[in-house]
Amino acid sequence: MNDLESKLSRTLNRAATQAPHAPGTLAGTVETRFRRRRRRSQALLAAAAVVVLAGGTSYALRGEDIRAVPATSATAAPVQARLTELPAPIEQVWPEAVRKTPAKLPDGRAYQARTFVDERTLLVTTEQRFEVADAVHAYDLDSGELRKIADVPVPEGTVLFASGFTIGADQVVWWTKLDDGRAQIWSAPLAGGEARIVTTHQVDGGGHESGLDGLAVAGDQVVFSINAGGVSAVPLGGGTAKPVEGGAGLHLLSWPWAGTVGMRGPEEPQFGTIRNLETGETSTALVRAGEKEMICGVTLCVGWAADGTTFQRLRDGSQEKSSPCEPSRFAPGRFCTTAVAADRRPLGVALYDTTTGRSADLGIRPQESSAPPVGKPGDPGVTGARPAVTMIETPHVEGDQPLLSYTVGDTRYVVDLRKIG
Amino acid sequence: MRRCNSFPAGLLWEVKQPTKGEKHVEPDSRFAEFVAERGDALLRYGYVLAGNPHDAADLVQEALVKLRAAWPRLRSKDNPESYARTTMARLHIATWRLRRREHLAWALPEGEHHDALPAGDERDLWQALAGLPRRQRAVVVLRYYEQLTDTEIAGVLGISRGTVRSQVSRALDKLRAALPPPDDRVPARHLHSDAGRGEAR
Repeated sequence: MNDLESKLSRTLNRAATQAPHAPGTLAGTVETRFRRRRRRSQALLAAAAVVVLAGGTSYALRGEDIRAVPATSATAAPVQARLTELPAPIEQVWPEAVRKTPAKLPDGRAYQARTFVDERTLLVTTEQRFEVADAVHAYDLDSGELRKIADVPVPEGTVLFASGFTIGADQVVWWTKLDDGRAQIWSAPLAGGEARIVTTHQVDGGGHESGLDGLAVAGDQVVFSINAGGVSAVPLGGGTAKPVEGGAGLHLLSWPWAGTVGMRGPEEPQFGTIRNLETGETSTALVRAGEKEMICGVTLCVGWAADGTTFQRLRDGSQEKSSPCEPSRFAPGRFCTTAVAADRRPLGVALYDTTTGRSADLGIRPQESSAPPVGKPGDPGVTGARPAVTMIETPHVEGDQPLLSYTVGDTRYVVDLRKIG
Repeated sequence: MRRCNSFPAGLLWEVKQPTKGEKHVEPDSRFAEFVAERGDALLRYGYVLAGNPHDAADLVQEALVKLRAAWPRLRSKDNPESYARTTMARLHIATWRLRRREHLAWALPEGEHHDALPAGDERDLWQALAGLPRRQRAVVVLRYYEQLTDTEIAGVLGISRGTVRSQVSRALDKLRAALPPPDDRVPARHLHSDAGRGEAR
């Protein structure tokens, strides 16, 4: 080993001592995340043609003309917007949008809130075991009454359990996946009845790594996209799914919009270019050189700027500002959730309105922080004071979905984002 | 060396699919024990791989989720730590960004991690490492932190031994060029040296 190599070895071992400690909650976090992912598979990677222009970047769908985006420089000052103090509680900031209900159903069962049926009614699922739905219900928030819509079948060999619950044409629609790689799309009448299979669609060769990453009802059709890319449609009444024209390789964002999800690389945004599958109109978001991990919704994009701060702006590049919203795997809508932290400790979670800049405390508090550092014999770098890590789990807001629902202790918060003025 | 790398090459991609009818996997206390015991070591490894605590935390979490999925199918001779480390190295290379995609905020210290590095050579070197492409950095970490042989590195990253050598060589060239004092410059041929490295341990 020459001098540089010895120095490398020393430096790496010394640097390793600066790593944070694993929180005591790590195993539980991993378990939760593992189960969540089994149920709802993560969007996998789909490549798109990428063209880099001098000073700016433009993205185009495969096989499509490249649309140049002029390079412009950011006008906003590079100051990271951060919430360092808890804002006022959400029930004070947006009282009209918040309802608090018991975390459990009147009969004591736990449930998952899926979406709104109407202003006062939630579509909920009960579970036979953790994250495995056994029935879908309408839950009246005013009266507390629970009306069963349908049993949720779990066919032999199911590896991804009922996910993607959505409502359209008076039907509730969801999907599951079998271990042979076939996804099943189900529907049940909202008024109540039996679940039936709309279609069975081969997604991959098997396993629980991938499934559907978008599902919606459009008129009398069910439209969906798969993790590997590709938008298809099938009549709600049943049949064989057929590819939607112009939707090859794309992922459903919000019908009729679908786009590329990108490689999660430093340069390629998710949903940077989207296409309206009804009209063929495309929209390409502005990307500046050096920006990373950008993800867009139908109107808004968030990402990391070259200076290390997070920004938000409209797809066309206007209304750019520093934002406490961080890019995540969820396409941004008007609202985001973000951890509030001060002195490197999380204090809670806030709901942030990207339009007005207002924020509210969701009432969630951090999990217990990890135990003090304990060295493991034989590991390098067990000496030295390293900071412990505290974690806080935050609910997410997905695109322009109106429902944000989470529990704090015995209370379930149901936030109707449409009611925030 | 600190650890034994006894996983079969390609383990990551060859775990068998769940058997027909397998449904729910109950939490396994041995998995929790593994995380409790090895979490810190994996974070240290993630930190030298990624160069910052945020990506290190994400790498560890993502690798552990994958390990958790494979856990019921790991055979007794499989080494879970090797599995996790191999996953982390591959994830790091695969233009992989997962920052907070599960919306788990890690309250991590900002700007502290350079402070305890001594000023001078090591600090310069640590900063120069940040300029390496991901694959080169991974190869350097596997060789000089994990102390793996080129054959082992090739197995972990799924690349040829020749590629490992050329990547190490380029990385060392870059690091040398990035370091301020030219005093310890050595002839380039020494950079390819495998002297002292057993190919089959």
